[in-house]
Amino acid sequence: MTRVFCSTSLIAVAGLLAGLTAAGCSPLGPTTAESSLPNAAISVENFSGSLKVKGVAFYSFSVVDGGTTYLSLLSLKEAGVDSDVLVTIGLGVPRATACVATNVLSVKATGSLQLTGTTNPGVHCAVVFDSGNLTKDATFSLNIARPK
Amino acid sequence: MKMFQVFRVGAALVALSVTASACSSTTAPTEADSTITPLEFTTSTFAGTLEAKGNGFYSFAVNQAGPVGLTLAAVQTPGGAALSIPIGIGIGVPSGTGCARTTSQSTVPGLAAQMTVTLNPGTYCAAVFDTGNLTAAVNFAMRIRHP
Repeated sequence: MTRVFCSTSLIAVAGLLAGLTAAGCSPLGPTTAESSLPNAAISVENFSGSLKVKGVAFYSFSVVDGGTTYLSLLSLKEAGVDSDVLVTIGLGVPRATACVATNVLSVKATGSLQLTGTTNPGVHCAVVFDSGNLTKDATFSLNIARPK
Repeated sequence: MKMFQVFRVGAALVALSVTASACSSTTAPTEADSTITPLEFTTSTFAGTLEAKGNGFYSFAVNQAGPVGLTLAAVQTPGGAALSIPIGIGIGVPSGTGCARTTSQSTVPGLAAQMTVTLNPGTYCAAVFDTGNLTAAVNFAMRIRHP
């Protein structure tokens, strides 16, 4: 009787492990390769607008689940012409009439993932500003990939 | 028979002990337990220019749940003359390039808070906007009092 119980238990445990492994889970950790964006749920928002010489623009967004947020400057045009000058992008929190950035980086418009930052649940902002490289007013497009 | 009596006395003592320990775990609250942390308030001033059909907002952090008050203190011409034109004020959450208002109303300037809402900790925004009464830009000043 004991032997039957042990055998049944072993089969049940083996079945559970097989099920977990098939689902990509294992008691030892994930068995499937992580995607390039580790957040379980990603939302992508596009922030497009105008940036004056030495100007600043920001965009607020809410995060429900904490995780990593990625910024990509997709395009930058000065007076309608593609520009490869450096502008600064950043992540922060909206305060007063600005976005107080805690994480900034000077980038060109390459379209790749450029700036990453941890965003806890709450309201955050992405900011774009000219630190002096623009010679003409510009337009830009920035993608914000964030946890839902 | 004596053995049974000893057992009864022992059981009574155990019951008493259990009751006593239960009582000690439900002692009355001490003075320290009943202390309520008073809310600490911060007052910010949001002042600027509001264009006809325009809007503006000011973001702030609420650190403790409690009442948030907005006082539209002044609306003036660019030259400094006081106006009593109603404009819109509101409270919401910063979203995109604006303030997604959850509460709003039209009001004239005054000394007391025209809007008070209770908010949980988080980031919010106070907004001003033209409800259609402005024909030219005005200057405004709003007080935001929040915990």
